[in-house]
Formats: sequence, C-alpha cells, structure tokens
Amino acid sequence: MRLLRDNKGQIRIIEAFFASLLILSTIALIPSQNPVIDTTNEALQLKGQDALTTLDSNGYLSTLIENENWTVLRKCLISSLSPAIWFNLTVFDENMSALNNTPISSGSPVSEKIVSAEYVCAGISRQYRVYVVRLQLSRVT
Amino acid sequence: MTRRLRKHGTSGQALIITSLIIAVLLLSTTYYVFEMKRSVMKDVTTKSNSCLKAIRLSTTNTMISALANFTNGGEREVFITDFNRLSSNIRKHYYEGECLLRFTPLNSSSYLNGTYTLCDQNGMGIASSYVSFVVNYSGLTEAYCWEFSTNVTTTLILRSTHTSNGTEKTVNVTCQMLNENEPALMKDIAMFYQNESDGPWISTDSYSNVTTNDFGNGTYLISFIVQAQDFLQVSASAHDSRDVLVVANATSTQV
Repeated sequence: MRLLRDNKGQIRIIEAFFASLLILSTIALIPSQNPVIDTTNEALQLKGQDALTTLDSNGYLSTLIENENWTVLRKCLISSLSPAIWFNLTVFDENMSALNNTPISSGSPVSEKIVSAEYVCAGISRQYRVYVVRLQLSRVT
Repeated sequence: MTRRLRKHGTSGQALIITSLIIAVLLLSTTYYVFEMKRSVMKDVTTKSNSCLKAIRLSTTNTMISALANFTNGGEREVFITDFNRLSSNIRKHYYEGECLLRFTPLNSSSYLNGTYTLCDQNGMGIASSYVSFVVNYSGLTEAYCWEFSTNVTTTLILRSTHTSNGTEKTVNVTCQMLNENEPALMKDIAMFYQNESDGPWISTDSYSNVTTNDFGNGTYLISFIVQAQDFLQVSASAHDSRDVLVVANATSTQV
C-alpha cells in the first residue's frame, strides 16, 4: 500500500530512460557521419569530374588543350582541387594517343589508392576535335 | 504547513522542464540524423547530375563548333558528322555503364536540320542551331534516361542613323551582339555601306575616318563618313567570341 502511494522516484526513472535514449541516439549518429567526410573513391572521382566540368565551361579546357598550354592547365587544376589531393592528367586524342608531352601533375603519387575520372571534352573551334581527358586522383593520407 | 505544501507543489516543475529539454534534444538529434542521411543521398545523386552536366557541356561545345563551321562557309551536314563523333566517343569512354547519346536536329518552319540563319533588311541578323538529345544510361545498378534540348544562338542587332551635310553623311551605327539573348563580345566586325539602290557594297576599311567605341557590354558604336545621296544602307558582318559569323543589314535613317 505504501509502495503504491510513494511515486517520488518515477520521474527519476523516466529521466534516466530519456538520458539513456539520448546517449544511444548519439552513439547511433557516429557511423552515419562516415560517408559525409568524403573519403570514398566515388567522392574523389566526383571531385575530379566536377573540376574538369567547371574548367570546360565556355570551352576553356579545349582551348587550353588546342594551344598545348599544359602549364596553365596544371595551374588551373591546382586551383580547382584541394591541396590534399594528388592528381595526374593525361590528354588523349580520339585514337587514344597521348597529347601532352610534359606531365601535368602535382608531384609524385602519395597513396596507392588512385581513382581515375575520364572526361570527353569537345572542342569549340571551327575544326571540330574531341579529346579524352583522364584525371587520376589520390588523397593524401 | 502552507509553506511545506507550496514547496512540494513546485518540486515537479523542474523535472518537467528537464524532460522537455531532453525531448527537444532528442528531437534535434533525430533531425540531425535525418539531415545526415539526406546529405549522403544527395552525394549519391550528384554523381548522375555531374555526368549529365558533362554530357550537356560537350553537346553545347559541339553545337558551337558546328555552328561556327557552318556560318563560315561549312556544310550543313557538319552537325550530323560532329554529333556522331561525340556520341561514339561518349559511348567508348564511359566505363561504368553503357551511355548512348541520340540527337535530333530541329526541323520546323524556320529551322532546317537544326540550323537557322536570318539576315533581314531591318537590322537583325541571327545564326542559330537547335538540337534535342536523349541520353540513355544503363549501369550495373541503375539506369537513367535524360532528355534535353540545346540552343545556341548568336544575334546581331544593327541600328544606323546619319547626319547629312550635302552629299557627305556622317553615319553612326550601333551594333549589339547577343549570345542566347545575353550581351556578348565581338571578335571582329566588318562594315559595308551601299549608297545607291542595287549598287555595290563598299567596305569602310578603306576609310581612315572609321571610329569604333566599345561599351564593354556587347554594344559597339561605329562612326564613319561617306558620300551618298538620299539612299544609304549599311551592313555588318561580325564574329562573336565563339567564332560564329552573323550578318545584318539596315537602312540608315537621317536625324
């Protein structure tokens, strides 16, 4: 009878229950953060693809290739990509013959995990040309 | 006794507030988790968006190249040839699945095989191309079908006025260059005039009194002095920065 009337501890139990729920939900949060950090190969590939697409706006990328302006192309990629990303770019013609005689890269590869993004670049000049641009990327670990 | 009751009566309020705060915390945590999941999903969908963006850019560049070729004396068939080349390259270099680009040049009352050129006598010159595309992508886990149209249009608007001093006319020609109805810069322009009906077009290059004012917003004011009677027509032949050639003619009005 006394136990039924004594309800002082109930709210404490509810509070403890809520607190444990809070802790559990916080723990549940931790694994869901992993993909957002962008460490996946797919995210790296997407970054490379986006950098090339941005560079190709208004036909700038094809103009650089046509003029064989590899130094400017390298500088553009350095500006577009994070310093924590290593890259190596190779430009091919339609027959897959490499066009750049000098390496367009940010140094030596820093990781064995290298992803590749391939981009078909159409020229805007009167004499139509199609280039295949291969961008290899690796994240500094 | 009253004091004791009041003390007992308010002791639960703090607990209720605490539980409310905890509930708010729980809700915000749930919302945070939901937002995280949504951002991950967005990352996945942007891959296909990025691919579509790259293909759209390639088609636009191809159209610019073909239109520049066509307006500078090339064959109309250059569109078909160039798009076949692009389509073949996209198919060859898409390793994650099969990507097919199909194109249909617009055929309407004004467009023929996706191209349209206009040079009327009212100061309007247009060079345009319009092509519809379908991209069919089938990968290991997903398949997409995108449909889009691309329009590349270069417009030149010409307005000419002149002041007369006997047979000597001071001509002011305002040229406005547009790319897809947005102001654009010119690469070069050649001006001609005709001082008699059905007479020859005379280039203004031979005159040293030609002045060009570039307003920097796609508008140019070209002034020159010519010898003419009442009849005066001007013609401009201009390349935009994409190398698309457009021609416009206008009858000059006396002010």
